[in-house]
Amino acid sequence: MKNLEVEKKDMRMRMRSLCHLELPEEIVMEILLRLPPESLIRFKCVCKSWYTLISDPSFAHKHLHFNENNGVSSSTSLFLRWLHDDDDEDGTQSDPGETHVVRSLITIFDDNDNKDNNDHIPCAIEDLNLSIIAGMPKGVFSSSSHCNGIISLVADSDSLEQIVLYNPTIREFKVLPKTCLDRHALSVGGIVRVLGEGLGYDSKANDYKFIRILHRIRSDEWFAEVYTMSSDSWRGIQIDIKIDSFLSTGEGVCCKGVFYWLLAKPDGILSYDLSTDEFHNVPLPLSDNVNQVDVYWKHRKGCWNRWNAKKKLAVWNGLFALLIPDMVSFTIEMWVMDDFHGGVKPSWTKHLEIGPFVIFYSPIMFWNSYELLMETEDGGIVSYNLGTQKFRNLPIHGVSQQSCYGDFYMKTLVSVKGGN
Amino acid sequence: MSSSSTTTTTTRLLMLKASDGVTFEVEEAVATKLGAINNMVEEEGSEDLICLPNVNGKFLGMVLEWCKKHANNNTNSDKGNDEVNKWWDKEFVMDLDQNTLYHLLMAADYLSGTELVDLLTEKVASMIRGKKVEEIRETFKIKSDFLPGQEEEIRKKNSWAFE
Repeated sequence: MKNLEVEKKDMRMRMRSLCHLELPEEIVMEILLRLPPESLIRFKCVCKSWYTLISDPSFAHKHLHFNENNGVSSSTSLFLRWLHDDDDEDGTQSDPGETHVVRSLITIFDDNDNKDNNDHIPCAIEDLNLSIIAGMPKGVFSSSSHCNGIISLVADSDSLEQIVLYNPTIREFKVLPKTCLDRHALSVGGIVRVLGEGLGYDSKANDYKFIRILHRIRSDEWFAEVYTMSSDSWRGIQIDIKIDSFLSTGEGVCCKGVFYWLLAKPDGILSYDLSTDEFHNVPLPLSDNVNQVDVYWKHRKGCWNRWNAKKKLAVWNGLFALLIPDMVSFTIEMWVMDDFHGGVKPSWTKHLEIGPFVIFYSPIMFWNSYELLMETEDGGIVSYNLGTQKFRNLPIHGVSQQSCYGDFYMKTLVSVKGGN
Repeated sequence: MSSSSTTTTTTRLLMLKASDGVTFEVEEAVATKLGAINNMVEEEGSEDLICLPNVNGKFLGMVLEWCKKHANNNTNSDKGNDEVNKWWDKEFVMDLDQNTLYHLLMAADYLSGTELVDLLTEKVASMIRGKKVEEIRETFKIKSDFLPGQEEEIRKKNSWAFE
């Protein structure tokens, strides 16, 4: 990583010729940092020096951090990925139980608690535009995660495996090289399942990493592979701790540079530190709710839907949190973990018991410290205010039960091509 | 000239003189919201007249008006006051024209009024956010220095941003 002072000086030298209106260079920079990425891309055309500045990865970085810390508080952006029940839509001829993946970018506008009469969340929803990703069949990507404006998309089937990093704001995408562990070579040792993945930012190395946890079934071996953007390559990592199986495949939760995935048998959480490459087994809090009743059947549209008491990993107020739904009382226990530094036994605090509700809700994520997004039994999504205990609807329907994954989203200039 | 030591230090007054000779008498707590004046007072004391040759009376007046509001409201810092300040700031920059904004920004920067610079750059950003490239060149008095064809190429590559 470059010395910060050098970087600053660098930037200043470049800024020197930027301003012809005798506005001090620092001020021009301050103005540009406050502009949305779309405007900045357009303003590359103003002159050579603006072009060079705006195209510089270190400016993209500065812009990202400025917006993280001073973000316009009037809106919050989310990325939701969920399965849409096709037979839910009127007039469609699809088979019952057929679903397709929907990825939505949601902007929630200034949320003022005074507007008490509104039972809808003021927001704009747009589908993530994948049409620019050349050669990718629509809807093939199975999972996704988000970090600093970049969305990872994984197409995973027997015939095709492809991982794409995509920044929709600057319309830039990159197909990752083949993983270091070739599928065919692996097949010798039995089928390999991908059981956890995620895209994260390693602040110490100033690098983006895509991590996936793999399981070689026949030999019951666990290992991981990590892609780093700066080197544009994969490498394998040994996982030394004992894992039996994952509770849910796919997305983990990233909090302060550490990824977490849920484990089952024995119950626990697998953590991975993006900077140190260390894995740990994090014990769950001692809750009375754990595994008492874990299934709940709900009759809907002529068939019975099975709801699981899925524990949900979350980030709340910048802290790692765990939500444990109870299928009997329709409550959700909310646990918060103190800062976890690998190896040290973490301590959990039961922060709140959310509910009881009259029906079952499946938690998705906190989009601020007092608003929790949850799936409803009839395929909708609500936001529940922990303080006022008020429900408000999101204009989303036909969500296949417990299929929704949510994360924050941010518009950034961060390039997926690496080169920090 | 040395003033006799006073018992009340809370309402010490400073004399500021703008480039056009206009003078302002302001409380020290107000004027020291500005980094530059704070430094001068710390280094040279507050007895003498402080001359500010790079700011004229009109804009110095406006900067001090902002300082006064923020110094007053900062004395009891609760969340309500924060809201009042925000609302006041919004009014303060609402109707500024480009010329005033430019000079005010220069004055705030010269006087190291960091918070005010933040407020004004935010205002500039909100004004130029949706503008066309040609309008930006006009606003910042920049001439395009691209070689023939270069600009078209950048535009073509990012055509969606120009829609």
